[in-house]
Amino acid sequence: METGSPDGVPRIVVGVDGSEASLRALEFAAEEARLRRASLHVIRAFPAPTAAGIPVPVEYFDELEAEARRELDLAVDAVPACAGAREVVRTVVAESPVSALLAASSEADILVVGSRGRGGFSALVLGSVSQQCVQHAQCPVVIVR
Amino acid sequence: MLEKLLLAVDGSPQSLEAAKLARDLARLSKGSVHVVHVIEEVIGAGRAGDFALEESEAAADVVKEPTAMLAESSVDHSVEIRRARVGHIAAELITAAHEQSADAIVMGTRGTSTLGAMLLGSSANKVLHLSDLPVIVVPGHHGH
Repeated sequence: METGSPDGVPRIVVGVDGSEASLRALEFAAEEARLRRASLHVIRAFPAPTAAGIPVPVEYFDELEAEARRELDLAVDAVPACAGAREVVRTVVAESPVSALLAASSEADILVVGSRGRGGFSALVLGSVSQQCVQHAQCPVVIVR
Repeated sequence: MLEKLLLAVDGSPQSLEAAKLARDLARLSKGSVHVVHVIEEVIGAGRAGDFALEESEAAADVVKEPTAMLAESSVDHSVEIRRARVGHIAAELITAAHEQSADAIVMGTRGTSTLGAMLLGSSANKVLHLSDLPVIVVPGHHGH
């Protein structure tokens, strides 16, 4: 399959946020990465924290980042299929999930997200992050339940 | 994992992009693709004679190119034309996916815009909200 990634290696991007649906998304993405011999880019975004509009102290930021990284590692460890990917690239980024995933999608062959993550109302079938990815991504988007 | 894909087509260029992706995915997984086009039935319009014939011909036209694409690549596939009442295309697609025990639904959208939601086809949007299966949404301008 032709690829849109800059290095010519098929690239699958998946967003994780610690939710059940995002783990299933990671499973799906890992399986596809194995089949395509693609690199698997796992992204964990955490919104840059502010207190009343003022950025929080660096120590607190570092803690949040470390926590996000731990969660990402836990997710990858929980999905053995990740080992089948050509490589697993882990990214923790202080940004909104939507903008992080959309930016990554511009160089991806497929973007995979869970139908709904942690935020918002659990009664919604499709979360706002998933919805916005579908609407704005440059590549095919897989919504996993 | 994606052994059986349901490909929803409606005659749009986006459908062809979706067909390409379905073909590529099925090739990789050595799976099959079930092509479905749902005719939206206009209540009150007569079904008899020429109109019904025209409708079937138009439907056959819609599935022609995606089907040819799959055949050329020797991807195992089947084709189905279904009918649904106005506003029930999404539900019909999901029913079809369950009947086929599909692993995912693949469909096109109208691409990106700042108006986002307005350009995501209403059927695609409904499928996204109603489906309990993974849904793969392919933008129309997907170039690579």
